[in-house]
Amino acid sequence: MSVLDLILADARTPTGGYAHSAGLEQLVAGGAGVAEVPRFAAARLRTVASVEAAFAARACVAGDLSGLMTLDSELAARTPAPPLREASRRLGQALLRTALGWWPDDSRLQAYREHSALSPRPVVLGAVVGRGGGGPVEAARISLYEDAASVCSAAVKLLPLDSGRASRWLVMLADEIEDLAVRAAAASSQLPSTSTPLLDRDALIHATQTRRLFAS
Amino acid sequence: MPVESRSLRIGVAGPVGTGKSSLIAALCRELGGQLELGVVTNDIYTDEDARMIRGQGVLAADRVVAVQTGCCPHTAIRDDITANLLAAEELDRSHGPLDVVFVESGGDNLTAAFSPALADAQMFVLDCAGGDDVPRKGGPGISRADLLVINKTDLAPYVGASVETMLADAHAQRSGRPVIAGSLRGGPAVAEIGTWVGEQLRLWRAGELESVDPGPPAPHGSGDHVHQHA
Repeated sequence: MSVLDLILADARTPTGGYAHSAGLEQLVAGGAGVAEVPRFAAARLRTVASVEAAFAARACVAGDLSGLMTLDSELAARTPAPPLREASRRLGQALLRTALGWWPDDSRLQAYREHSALSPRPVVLGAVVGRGGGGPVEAARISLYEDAASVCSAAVKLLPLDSGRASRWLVMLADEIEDLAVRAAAASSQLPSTSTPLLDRDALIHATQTRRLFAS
Repeated sequence: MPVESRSLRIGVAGPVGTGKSSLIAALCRELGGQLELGVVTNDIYTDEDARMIRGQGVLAADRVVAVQTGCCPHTAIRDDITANLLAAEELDRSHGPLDVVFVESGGDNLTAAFSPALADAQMFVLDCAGGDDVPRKGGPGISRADLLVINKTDLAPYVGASVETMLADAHAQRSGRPVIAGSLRGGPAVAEIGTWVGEQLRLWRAGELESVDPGPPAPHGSGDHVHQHA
């Protein structure tokens, strides 16, 4: 694991992640309590987060701009809820903006910023990891870890919960994240498309709420 | 991004309920005829501020955007400003570039101050109803924001507050930086603040506006020593 991987996984790196709960806020609004949180994080890892990890891994080795743009479209086709596409776009653009501050002369990232209207977070993450010399497994691992970490850190704000306990959930999920990262990076030419209709529905409801803390 | 291709960004910070949204709405009404304006609100729990400003009818609804801050209003204007920068840049891209974008912080405590990378100039809003000892307590915004606004002076007699004390304490804290006291409900305050905004825009376009960091809440060292943080 490189220092760049640590920087990308660090919530202190300014990429706007603190404003997103990975769907937990709406789950809690629907009545979920502390006990459901680690199960929710694990369920996301096996479904939507694995899909995103496969895209991050692929973006890492996507080559030129057209390769990234194809991944944009492929991931949009797997993200039916507009609020989730928008959340991913915002997070992707934030990371892209920060990464271009690191490498202002990177012509591929510049071109991608100029041409990509979607810029979903996993594709940006993969491209950035690749730019920094990392490989598909690293990109997938960061993507998966960040998904689970978003759930657990949002839980501390949404529920009566010791943050130490939330970090323990992440430790308990570590082996699974490792396995899923390897699997996501090894995905065959067919990218995964596990769907999560309840998350899509919840995202549509969440977007209409006027009292919410999180952007997604 | 080159200065010319974007709007001047003016931050509006201050505690909850002091009148930040009302001030922005009043400024939009005051300046909207001469300047192309946009607003980014940072709400803690609702998008009420954005809806309130839209509801005033002073700006087209799509010129007011709300940024969710995930319980971290302070982070969004200081430690990780990417969401706010992107929102301001999108306003410029879809409408402009605009002349001025006001960025309203989520009502926070006295230590909240904008990163100079987000706000080219910033004002801090207090009100008489919040207690006339607040300017004396100080803080980075009170002491070093480019403009301090003391709102709701019309309420002072009803809450036992002394506008004179607030002004004297504010001036003592601010080493000559401007203070405008008044009421957004009437009187010259809004026009005075509008003039200040126009002056910031003039300075910025002339390349003479230096974004000043109000800095950390408790300066290390002593006295009025101002730190230059990289």
